[in-house]
Amino acid sequence: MIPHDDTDCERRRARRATLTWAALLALTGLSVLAAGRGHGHAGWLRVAATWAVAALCALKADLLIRHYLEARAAGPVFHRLVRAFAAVVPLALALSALHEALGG
Amino acid sequence: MAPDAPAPAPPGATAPPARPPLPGHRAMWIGICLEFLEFTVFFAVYFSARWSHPQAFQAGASRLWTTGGVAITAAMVTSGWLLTRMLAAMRAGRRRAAQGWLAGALLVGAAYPLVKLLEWRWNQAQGLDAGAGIFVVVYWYLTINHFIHASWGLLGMAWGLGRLASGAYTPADHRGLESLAIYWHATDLVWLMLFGLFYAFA
Repeated sequence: MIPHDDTDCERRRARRATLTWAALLALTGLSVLAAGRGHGHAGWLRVAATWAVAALCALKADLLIRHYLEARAAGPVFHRLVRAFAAVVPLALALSALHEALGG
Repeated sequence: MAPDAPAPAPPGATAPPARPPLPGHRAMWIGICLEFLEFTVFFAVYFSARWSHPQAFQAGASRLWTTGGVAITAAMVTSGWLLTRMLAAMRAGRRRAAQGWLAGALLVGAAYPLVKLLEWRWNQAQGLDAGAGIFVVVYWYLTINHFIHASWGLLGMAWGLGRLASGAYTPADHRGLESLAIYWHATDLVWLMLFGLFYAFA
């Protein structure tokens, strides 16, 4: 039988995992709504919608890395590599939107 | 004494806190970092194409099937959640329950290829083939690559389920299952990026 503390720890972990699952689904829905706001528009409304999608993408990645992948437990090198990868798309998406709005 | 054995700590010295063991196999962490590198190259292709053809990318996304993208996201994320439950059950020594969670993860994850099949039929009906412009070419390039990676994950789940049923894993050593979960979560992370690039704007 596992010690009581371990059981509590596992319970907390399970609760976090379930909340993460719900949050990831909710944020996916929000992404679609945010992108829909910018649909058919040009200029800064579209930029704002794209930035919102980029921010939601970064938030979802953070939740997944923290609570599912548990990259921190893999050590600093792997953790930094995973974090760097997760930053690429949100940053590039935000920059692309700006570039497009400025008529690039 | 072996030449590379650590020297004994002097009496009274405090031992450094032990680092928690690496979840899964080190090779899997190296593998997912290589997967990330591969997709970073694919994303570079996406953004270089987008910077050169912004109009094609703004118009292109509205032709994709959002519902399909949302359904695949739900399948990936739910399957990942079931894998976390499988690992929790395994750590608690509940092997039968772990088998159930893993079977559930495989079943839910298998919705991905099914939705993909429907999406391909939708694309065919919309005329979204390789000749439909730069946006569609990049879309196919990235999503097919992701589909291949997810398929490896599903095969891994089937393999892990067989090994788990045969008693190959114990609560003390189930790194194979941890590695499987790490791979699936990494593939899920890539999908969340693809969703932001293609489906959110569809």
